[in-house]
Amino acid sequence: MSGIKKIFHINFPCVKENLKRVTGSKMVFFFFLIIILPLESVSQNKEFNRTHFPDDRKALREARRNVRDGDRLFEQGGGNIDQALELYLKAYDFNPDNALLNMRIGECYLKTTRKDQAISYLERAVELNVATLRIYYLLGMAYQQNYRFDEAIEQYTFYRQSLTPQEAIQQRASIDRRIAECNHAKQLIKEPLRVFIDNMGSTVNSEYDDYSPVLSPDGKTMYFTSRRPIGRRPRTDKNDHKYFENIFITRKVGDRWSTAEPIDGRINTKTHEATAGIKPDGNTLFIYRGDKGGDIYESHFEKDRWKKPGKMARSLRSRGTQETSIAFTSDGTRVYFISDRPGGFGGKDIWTSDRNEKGRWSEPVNLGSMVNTEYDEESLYLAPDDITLYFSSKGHNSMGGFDIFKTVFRNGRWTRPENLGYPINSPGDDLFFVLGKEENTAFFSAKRQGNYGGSDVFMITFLGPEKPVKLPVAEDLSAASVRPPQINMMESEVEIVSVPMTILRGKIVDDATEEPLLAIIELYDNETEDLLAEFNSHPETGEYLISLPGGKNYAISAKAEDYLFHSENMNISESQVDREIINDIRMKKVEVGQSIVLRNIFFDTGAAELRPESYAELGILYKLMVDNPSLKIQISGHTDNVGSANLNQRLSERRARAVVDFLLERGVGNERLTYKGYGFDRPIATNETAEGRQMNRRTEFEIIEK
Amino acid sequence: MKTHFILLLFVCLFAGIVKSQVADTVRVGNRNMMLAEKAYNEGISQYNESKFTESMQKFNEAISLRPNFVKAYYNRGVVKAEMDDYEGAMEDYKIALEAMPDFAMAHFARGKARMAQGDTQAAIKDFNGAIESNDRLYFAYYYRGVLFIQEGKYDEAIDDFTTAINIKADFAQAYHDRGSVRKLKGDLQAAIADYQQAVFLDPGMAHAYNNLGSVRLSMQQYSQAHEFFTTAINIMPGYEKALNNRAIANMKLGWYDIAMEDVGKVLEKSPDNYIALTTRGLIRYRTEDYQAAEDDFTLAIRLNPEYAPAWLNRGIAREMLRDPKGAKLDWEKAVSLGLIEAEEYL
Repeated sequence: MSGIKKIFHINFPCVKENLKRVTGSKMVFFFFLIIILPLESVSQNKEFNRTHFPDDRKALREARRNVRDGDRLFEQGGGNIDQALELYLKAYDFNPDNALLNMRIGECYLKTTRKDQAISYLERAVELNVATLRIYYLLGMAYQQNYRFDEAIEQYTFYRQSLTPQEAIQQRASIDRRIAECNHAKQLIKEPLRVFIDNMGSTVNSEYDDYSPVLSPDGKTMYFTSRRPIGRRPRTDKNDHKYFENIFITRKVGDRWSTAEPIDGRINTKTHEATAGIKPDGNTLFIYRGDKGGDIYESHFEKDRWKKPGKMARSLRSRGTQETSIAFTSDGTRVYFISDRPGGFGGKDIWTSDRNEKGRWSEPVNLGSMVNTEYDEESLYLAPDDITLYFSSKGHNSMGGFDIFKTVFRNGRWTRPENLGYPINSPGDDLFFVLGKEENTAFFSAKRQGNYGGSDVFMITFLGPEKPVKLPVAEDLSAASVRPPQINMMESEVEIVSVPMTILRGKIVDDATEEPLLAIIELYDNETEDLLAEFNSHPETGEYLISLPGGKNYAISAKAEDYLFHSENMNISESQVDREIINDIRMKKVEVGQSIVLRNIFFDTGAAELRPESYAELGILYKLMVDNPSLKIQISGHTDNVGSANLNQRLSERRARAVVDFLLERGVGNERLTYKGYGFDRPIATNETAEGRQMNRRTEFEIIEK
Repeated sequence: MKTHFILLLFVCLFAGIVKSQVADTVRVGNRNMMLAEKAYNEGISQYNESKFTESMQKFNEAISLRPNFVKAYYNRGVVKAEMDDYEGAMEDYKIALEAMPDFAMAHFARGKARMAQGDTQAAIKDFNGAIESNDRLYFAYYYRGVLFIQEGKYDEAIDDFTTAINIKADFAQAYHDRGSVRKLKGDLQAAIADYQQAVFLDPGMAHAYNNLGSVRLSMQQYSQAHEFFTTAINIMPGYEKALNNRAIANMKLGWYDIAMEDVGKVLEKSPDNYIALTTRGLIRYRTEDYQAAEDDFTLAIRLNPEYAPAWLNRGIAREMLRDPKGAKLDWEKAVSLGLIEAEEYL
């Protein structure tokens, strides 16, 4: 609404009257006057007269002549519009404040491809209170052509409301149509097609109208219509003051189109010849000729030349009517064409006719109200699939002038025509759509800003539906990398306990000679079987010294080369801590008859199953057997005298057998092992004391053979 | 050599064997043990104060005094891992595990070290070991779930995160990561629920807000996405990923200038941020500055040739620049990098 105050600048008496009619309220009218009057003082219309230009009569005369000549050319229209505009602009240089001149210039621009220039002149004409309400209609058109649809609707609406009842009867439908076009355009423009639209360039287009392309089947030759001059003395059509239409040809060489030339043969004449279609085989060109109301002729390509065009079948012609565009199915049995013959829905319609087996064409039939409208349909093209028909229409949901539509023949009927969409279609005329050889190309004609002049031929490249981009979203999908869980990885602190120690010391000597021996001493924790220490006695003195925590049971063994190992069980009680224990060891040579007490072999009371803490000592015995493969030994079991002799004898035998089984299980040969139970027959200490009985409960081995 | 030395040390000493060739006093369970334990405890204190070098020295001391000190080996491994010496850490964990095969934390810690080195399969095995040793070790489930995501085993990942949550109901990270897997599986509503639970449990979890925004972007709810990204940025000012994503949301909302501001902040700080360059390229594409868009995508590709979105998007820009051959090559590259949707464009 911001443009309203400036645009609806009313001062002219008749306009004021109309405005009163529109508002229906004098109060509102006075309100407008109050708002508008200050602006009015700077927007004064200047007529081309001596009152306004008293000092330069010559220039005034020339300006008035330019206006007069311009008016004449403007009235003739067509090809003279550019000349009219030129003259108007000269006059405008002299007097830019003439309302009617501004309106005329705006109107001229609306008829050219420079439609964007129209708006400022038409707006200026409003400011200068041009004496016609039609200015609002023109301004609506200018806005519509320049994609300012809301403003266009405002202007059209204002214009419609300002009409007298009689004017309304005459014009209301067309104004409503313009408004509808604007609304269609607003919808279509919301979802633009993904296409490239390229002007075919200066080799094809000219400063004159170029349009209606048709393609050979291989897509390499294009025939089109141009109103450029040809020949020595080109003639213009007195109706529109443009050169007569002629057919031109351009060929595709690589990626380029050659410079267009008039089609050879006997096609072009001194009157209008325009392309109207081509048969699917490419050998018949249909030509519109403007004589006798406008009919379609056909020319055949024979012996490398286009032959003189001949008339179409009589049934496809109609006296006094105009046929402008034609298309055949691939098999040539059906034809579609544009005609303004009677029986249609208004203006030009699309008609069809079928050829029977005898080659005669049926009476043409109107395609019906689904396709044809009360407005003109024009420039049809049948796709190679024979069921898709492209055409232009001013009806349906056109966004202004002719738009290109598509309808498909399905299930015996034509589908509702679909607007091809923006930006192929525009508020101006968009016509002559044909598909290219490549699937994603097409051609059409339109008057667009930046054209070489008038209508030009364009190529469309369809890009297809929008290709979704890949959004470069940045994520931290795992918290582990950015905010990891708090985990206490450290093992906890330990409680430091002070352990009282016992000193164990002694000397290792040969049992027979009492010579000091270098022996390897191993210390085990009998509870855990862990080897706690391995060390040597002094090589010269045979002495050793070790400090041990109290309150544990230890196994201590000594090994020396050529000597039987010696084992001790040391149960160091808590009471013995901080004390020194002397433990001398006498080692016996490996000789037949030598025997050793295995002091770290343990059984539960009355049982013959080895307790786990025995395994350390058994391991030493096993190693002795492995290191001395010729050694044969006897394992003997001994008990104290508690219980019956029979029971003790059997128990001692079973215990000796348990040791033998341990060695057998680990691969020591059966022939190297014997065992015997002695019960309490061979005590080594008194059975009268607990200490003595403990010493008597023992396992021994004796070397039988070396 | 280092490995061999430690192995030798282990063979000789670790079982508790102390050798002496002279008849000097051999000490078992003696004062050295106390000193070792004291050094061990001090090592933990130093670690807790983030004094890792000092901490490691203490654990070294503890081990030299008591070569079979399993916990000291383990803790020294933890310190080494903290100092990114994963190889050294794994050697220590190995010693600890050979002594104590059921040492769940050592399994877990070694798994993390292997994870840091990118050895996913070995890390999963270690996490399996940790869980076998202690089936309540919720973070072992969590990290195994993280690795399952990398492996594309989304169902297994969800199972692990769910187990972790069942053990520890306030485990925000497990909720968060389960949300991510659900997002990857396309279950956006479930993803939102998990992310929301994560920020409920840990309101400072900026990346959860960022991911919530990302889900909303996927759902084309750009205003809501924008709000979540803003929350993430408020929690963590300068959070580049959230700034990048908010730029995308702004772009989707048609606020191109603000979008450029957001992505500009990222690129000002990190000019080589190829994701942000790709985003800027997209904004420029949207504003139909196709040449500038192509330039941005090209720069992003130069910085990270493996970043498929930049290839795909450059193809689209090149199409608009009337370079169909270049576009096709870009889309082919995007497909080769795993962006199969680019196949549609070929």
